[in-house]
Amino acid sequence: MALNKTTLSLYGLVAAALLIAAGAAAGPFGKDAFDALLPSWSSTVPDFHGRHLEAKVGCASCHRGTSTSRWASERLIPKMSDCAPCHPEAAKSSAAAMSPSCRMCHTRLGAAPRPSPARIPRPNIRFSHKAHADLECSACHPVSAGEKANPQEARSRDVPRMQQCFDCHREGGASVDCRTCHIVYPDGRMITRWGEVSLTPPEWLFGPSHGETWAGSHAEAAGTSSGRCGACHTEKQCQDCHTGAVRPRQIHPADWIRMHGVKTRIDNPRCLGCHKAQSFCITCHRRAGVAPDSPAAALTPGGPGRFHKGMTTRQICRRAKRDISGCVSCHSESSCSSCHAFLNPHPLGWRRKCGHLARKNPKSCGKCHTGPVLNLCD
Amino acid sequence: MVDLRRGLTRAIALGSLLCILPAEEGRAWASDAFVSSALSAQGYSVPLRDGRRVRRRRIVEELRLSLWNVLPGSGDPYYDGPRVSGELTLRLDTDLAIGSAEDASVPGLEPLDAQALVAKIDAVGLLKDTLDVSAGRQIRVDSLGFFAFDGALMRLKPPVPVEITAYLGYEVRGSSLWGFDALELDGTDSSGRRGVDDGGPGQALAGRRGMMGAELSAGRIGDWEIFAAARTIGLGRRLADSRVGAGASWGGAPVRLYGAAVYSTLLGTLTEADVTASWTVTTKVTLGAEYHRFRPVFEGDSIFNVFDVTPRNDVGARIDLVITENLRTAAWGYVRVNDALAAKDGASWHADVGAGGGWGSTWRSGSEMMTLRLSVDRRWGEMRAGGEWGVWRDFLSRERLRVGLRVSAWHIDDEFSDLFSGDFAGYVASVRYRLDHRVEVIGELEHYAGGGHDSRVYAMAILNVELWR
Repeated sequence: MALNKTTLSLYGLVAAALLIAAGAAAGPFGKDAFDALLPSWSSTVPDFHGRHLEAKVGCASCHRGTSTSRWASERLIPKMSDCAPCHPEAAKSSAAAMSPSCRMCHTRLGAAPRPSPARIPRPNIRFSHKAHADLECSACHPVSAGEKANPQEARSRDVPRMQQCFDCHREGGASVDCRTCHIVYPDGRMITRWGEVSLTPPEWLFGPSHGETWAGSHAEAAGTSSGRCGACHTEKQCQDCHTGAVRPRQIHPADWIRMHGVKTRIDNPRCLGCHKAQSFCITCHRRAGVAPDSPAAALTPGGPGRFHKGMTTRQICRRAKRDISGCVSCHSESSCSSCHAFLNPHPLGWRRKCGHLARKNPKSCGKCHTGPVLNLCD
Repeated sequence: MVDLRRGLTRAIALGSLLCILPAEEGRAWASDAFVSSALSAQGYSVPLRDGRRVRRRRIVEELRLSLWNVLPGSGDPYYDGPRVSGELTLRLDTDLAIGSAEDASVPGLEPLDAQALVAKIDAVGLLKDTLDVSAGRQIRVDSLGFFAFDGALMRLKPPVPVEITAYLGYEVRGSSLWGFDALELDGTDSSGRRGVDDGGPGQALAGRRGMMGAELSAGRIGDWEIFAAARTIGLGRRLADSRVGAGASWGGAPVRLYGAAVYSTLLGTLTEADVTASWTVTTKVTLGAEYHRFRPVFEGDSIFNVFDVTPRNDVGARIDLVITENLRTAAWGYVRVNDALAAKDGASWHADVGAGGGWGSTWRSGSEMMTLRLSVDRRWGEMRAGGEWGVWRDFLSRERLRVGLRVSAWHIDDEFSDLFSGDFAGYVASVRYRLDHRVEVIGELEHYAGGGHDSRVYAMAILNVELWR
């Protein structure tokens, strides 16, 4: 390995920089998706749901406007005036100082002279209470509705997790499109970045978990349910990789131009998803003097044929049977037919099968064979 | 045709230039519009053993225009009527290093190339959300693969869990007007532009090739999704290349199964088969197993189709682990065996078996990310083993500055040539700076050494500009 001292020093510096960066990277863990989509909040009023439920006060008595609300961002917690019909002292809330009776409800006020309005962060989802008006409140808010005994649980998080929403939508025949609930850009794609959090589909959802192996395995999901992919991705994102102007480095690491040969021969079904061997590959190989009919090949030590490093015809033939896609990244049809006009490339029993193709396209046969080719078939 | 292409290329170059000029914010006739430009410049110089160097100085400008919610009121999040949108993505690709006498005799090298990747209008949710229509140049992904065509597509969505998609048009090829060839089948380049086999006797399919196809997909039948697709290229010609494919997936948690196959009616053979299974053991552990069979297929008139090829069979397994919210890791491995070679050549199976595997891990927090990937592939006496470690960190508010570093080391045994064997090591240093939410600049510098060659340096700069939103 030809690494001189300067290069080794350079790599030493790089390694040191990496260690420093790794240390710097050991920061606090980020929030999860639930935090990002439904930021929690707190109030000076503790959870009185239990007491109100005991008194058989219906949810709508306090949470007015719920049945007509179309937006998750609408403020549906009761105002002081909503409390007033049952708690007349709430109507006097304009007084400068809090009376002791105020503190009966606002128990979390502490030393503050009066409560400030609860700051409820804007939820980053789409939700219409109106569309769910035929459900019991407890279906989604079991703690608040008293069906799940956990009064200590923050009311702001007494909402279903995504899997519960999804299961209910699927079983009830409602839309399971991601964009039914998630906020979208004007082009209809989901917003997947919320502050520090990036949203990716969970494992249980249709199977498109975007894990470590996703880059090499997403074709089946795209082929069966491209409509779902479209919830977050545009065709441009497909093109950026598959017809891209800039090579995606996760797929083409390191010194790819120099090192891609072995990997592409091993993995070429995947390469063919983006590269056409008979234009993209062969053009560059000709320019680099690797392809046999390259204008530069004659100048290269060893000349045409040096690439196969002393392999016998039989060895080359066996490789071609296993990996013809690799062959055509350097060889055009004319360079193949110059030899195969004399060396039969067809599989065993070809005479029995070739009539079908010969009838459809005799010109293809005519690249090597002369005369009426159908006579050659059984 | 050549003059027409040249004229259009100049027109697109001029159009792109005009659109790069600062756009004045104004009233759009559409509800939402988006115009963006991505300008990338790449330069590299790779030394060859014979003393020459392959150089490239590539400048690519990509311009994207999108219109959404064209119909009045359709911008309302709860609007459920029909929606109309349009998209145009143009690319101008130049390579300023092309021009030597040697380059001039390499067919297919294009110093200036203009492409329209997408140019279409979509109307969705028509007839009470039972019909979607799109027209123009579009890319489609279905169980037969990834392809592009100029034409019209219609999707029927009756009030049962079945969708029927049908399309008709011309295949997008390298020779199409502002065409590109990345998504056409390999084989004889009879389209005339790329000219790999210019003048050969196989110029049977010159010009445009009609294409039609249909897909039937049934989803939400319990946990099943079933799909079938058929596509014919070369309508109206004797040599019509048809492929049919079908498959199903079953997604009942915690196990998911998927199977699909593609059959070429022209060759009378199964060209692809996939079976995968995955089991979400817990929310943090997923196991997977897969089988892939692949037989390369070329354009209908290609002689490569009639060569003796042995389909390859891959059997693999993987495990994905979510260790914490921020740390994910996965390991995978596969064994590859080619069909029937033993029967034909009397070779032992040992000679035909290849295997490989890898391990990857990503740690991500709010402003930092670190990855480590190791892999080894060995087959036919060739080997590639090594790995890459990368770290990125955002600085300043709103991820304004991102600095990254990737270090890699590989060992390669190339059966074909000593030119590409050896030990290689190198790094990529990258910086991304966002001037504001509409403009970002990316710079990358790569430096590699090893393999008995001089060191290689690659440089890249990208300017992304959101012109109008």
